[in-house]
Amino acid sequence: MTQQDSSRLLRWALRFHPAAYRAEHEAELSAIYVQATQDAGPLGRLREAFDVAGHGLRRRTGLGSDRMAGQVLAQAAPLAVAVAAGGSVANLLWLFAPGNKILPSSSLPGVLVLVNQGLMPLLWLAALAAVWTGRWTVARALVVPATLLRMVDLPLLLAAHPAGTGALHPSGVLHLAVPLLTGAVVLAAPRDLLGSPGARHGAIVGTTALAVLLWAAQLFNVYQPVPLGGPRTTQALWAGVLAVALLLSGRDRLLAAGLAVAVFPGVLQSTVPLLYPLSPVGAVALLLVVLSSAVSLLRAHRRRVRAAPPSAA
Amino acid sequence: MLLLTALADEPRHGYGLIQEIDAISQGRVRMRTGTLYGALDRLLQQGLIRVEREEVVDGRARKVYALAEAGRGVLAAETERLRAVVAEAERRLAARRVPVTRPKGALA
Repeated sequence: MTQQDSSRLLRWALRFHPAAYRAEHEAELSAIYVQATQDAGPLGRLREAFDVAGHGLRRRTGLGSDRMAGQVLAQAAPLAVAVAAGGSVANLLWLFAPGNKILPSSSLPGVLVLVNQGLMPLLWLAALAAVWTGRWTVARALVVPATLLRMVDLPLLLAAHPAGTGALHPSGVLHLAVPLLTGAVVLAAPRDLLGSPGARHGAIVGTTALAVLLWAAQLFNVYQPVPLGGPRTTQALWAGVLAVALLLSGRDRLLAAGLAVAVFPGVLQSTVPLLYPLSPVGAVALLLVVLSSAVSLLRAHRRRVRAAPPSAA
Repeated sequence: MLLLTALADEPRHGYGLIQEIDAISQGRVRMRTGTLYGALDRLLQQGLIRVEREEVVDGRARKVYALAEAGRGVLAAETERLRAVVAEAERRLAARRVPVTRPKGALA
């Protein structure tokens, strides 16, 4: 990579910053970049440029570490990995649940589905171990293939079961949205707030246990349907957890807000099927999410009003 | 904490901070440009650091950052907390290192 290529790379990375911010900080950012990459190889320069671009994107989207949204994401990132790790193990077990019509056949796509489902828990558990030990670069590097594998799941299932395509369509969007959301939470969290997990170990263990419990309840429901509210009652538990997390969240309770963000993909995955077609359990879950979101938003609005300086009038 | 420590003895510019953090962490933490800038944005917004001056070196503009009073207070409090943890750890390790030995055959 020539010096010219490196400059072009930096100019590309700086384009992600808001114009006003770039005008103010471009010279300094360029100076730091040039000094930091003077002995670096092409890969090092590329990584440095991606880091600058990431900073720009966070500034543009209000997800910087100086903003509350960024601080919530930093709390959510380890918990999102914990939820995804629990979910990937549950997904694997789900394939062998009685009456599961999408158990892969012996065809090549079917085998690929099984391999994919086997690889996902490995990648997510490795990412969780990396988060646990504070190795965020490794964790984020593992989250990318784990997310892609989860997204590939749908085309593989469709290839394995061309006849069952109709049954899979409603959940098709979820198969893409859920992993994308989880991956986005982990990758968008500001790196400077993702230091050593130390104090977050308890939260990571708690969230993993919670995710395993929720998925286990759904799996158990397949074998022993819960009499109250029909066979899909346990799916609404995710909405309940989101509602509690939203009600507990606040400016000084970023961990609860982080938990709400972390479980949101799980809520989507479990609750949307209850709304299509709308079931009584689905209506209750939806009501829980809407009410808790409204309370949380109202509280945030009141805080903003209180914090705003009185007008000159 | 690493950034505040890097600024504790003297003001530093961006790349100087990257080098200092690398040295303080004994090579374990290699801060990248965007990550450093994100942290600086946050610490400036929290009032823990301030821009000491702006200078031009080799035709490149750069800011020199310094620890603000609030930052000095936060760093001192965190240092005190860590010192207490270290003292307690040392006390417990020392207590374990000296086993109670009794002369052979002696029954208290």
